Amino acid sequence: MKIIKTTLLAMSVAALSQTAMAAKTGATLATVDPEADRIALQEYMKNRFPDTPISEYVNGIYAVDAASRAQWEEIEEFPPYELDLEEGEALFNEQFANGKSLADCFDNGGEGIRQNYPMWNDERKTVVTLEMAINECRLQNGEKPYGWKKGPIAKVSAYMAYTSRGNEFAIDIPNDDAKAAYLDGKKFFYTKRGQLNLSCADCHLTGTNRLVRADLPSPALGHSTHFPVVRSKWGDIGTIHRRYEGCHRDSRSEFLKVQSETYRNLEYFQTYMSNGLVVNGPGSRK
Amino acid sequence: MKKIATIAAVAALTASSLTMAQSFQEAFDMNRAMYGAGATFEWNGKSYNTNYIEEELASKPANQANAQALFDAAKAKLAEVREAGFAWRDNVKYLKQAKEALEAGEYQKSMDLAARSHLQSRIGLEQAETAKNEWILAVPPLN
Repeated sequence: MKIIKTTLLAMSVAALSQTAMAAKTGATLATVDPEADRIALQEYMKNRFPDTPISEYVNGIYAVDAASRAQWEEIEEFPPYELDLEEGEALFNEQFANGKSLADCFDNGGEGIRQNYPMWNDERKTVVTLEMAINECRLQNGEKPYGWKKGPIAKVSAYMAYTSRGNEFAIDIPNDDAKAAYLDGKKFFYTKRGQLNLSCADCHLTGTNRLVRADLPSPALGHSTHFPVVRSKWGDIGTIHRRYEGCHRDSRSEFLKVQSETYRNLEYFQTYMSNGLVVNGPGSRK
Repeated sequence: MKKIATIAAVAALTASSLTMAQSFQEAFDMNRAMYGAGATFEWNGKSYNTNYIEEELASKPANQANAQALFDAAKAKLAEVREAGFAWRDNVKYLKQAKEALEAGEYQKSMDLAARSHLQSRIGLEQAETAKNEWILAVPPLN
């Protein structure tokens, strides 16, 4: 009898040890809890990088790697996005042919509102990103939309982010439809895909600050706070969806169109994870 | 102390015994990894080879009918994996090249390329199936 008890106890220990490190709920609409996910991600990062305050994660990899940070701080002495900001401001204030401008389409004249995007639109049952709202505003006023990944769209978005610097992200998930979009984004983030069998989380959660060839992947927490960014690799400014496309391609997946529903849901999930962190876009990255 | 040691030993045995009952796929994958294509192995008393289905299809006589059939199968498989959202980056390129080779009468080349495309789609579908239950395991738990 004693042997049976011991064996059962040992089997329980073995079973528990295999599941202790994984989330047990949150895979369905009934169980997903965005706030629990956000706190769990913060806890994960606190355990991995105990010396890094949560507020520092707006700085991406520069929050956790001192050598990269030193280089970045030197770059930031003459921010590579300064000219983009000036052009973005001019484009933002440009009058449409009908006499209106982008300011007419947004709350508060479009200033200081970055922290509310991406936003759930309950009438359309979809996530609306800031770039999507900019282009829809242009279309509604008889103007041609900008291209999605770089150039004017990124510059205007950068200017709008700049006017919001210091504001805390406050992404709202108002109902179950919005929660379903959040869950879709969460699932995409954690799902392995492509020939390299990589998920976003493989690089930006477990792989944070661990060399992938010569690169140190940034932490997932705070990812969307600093976009749009000027990337040294790009040589110009680009949106977060431009980066999504690049990451997706690099995993050797057939990548999606920027501003597709899946990428918008991914941005919704990621930005919710940054709730409480401040807007510090535009940024510069390697 | 003796009890703790017993628990640890039984726990280790339990964990290892979970992996001892090898499925066909595990046996295939292990033998494929060890010996490559064209080898044979025993599983549950029967003999099998280590070829992927695509290698079997691509080794059929190189003629128009077989090349067209393999191209059609690869095209259908690509549509299936795209629908699941797990297509690989270079898959379309291989399929396009297979079509060009087929039209140029280069049947073996076409069959090799279509087989590669089919293989990528098939594994992509396996990823999709695995992801259904396993993606949540990567999410950090709230302690």
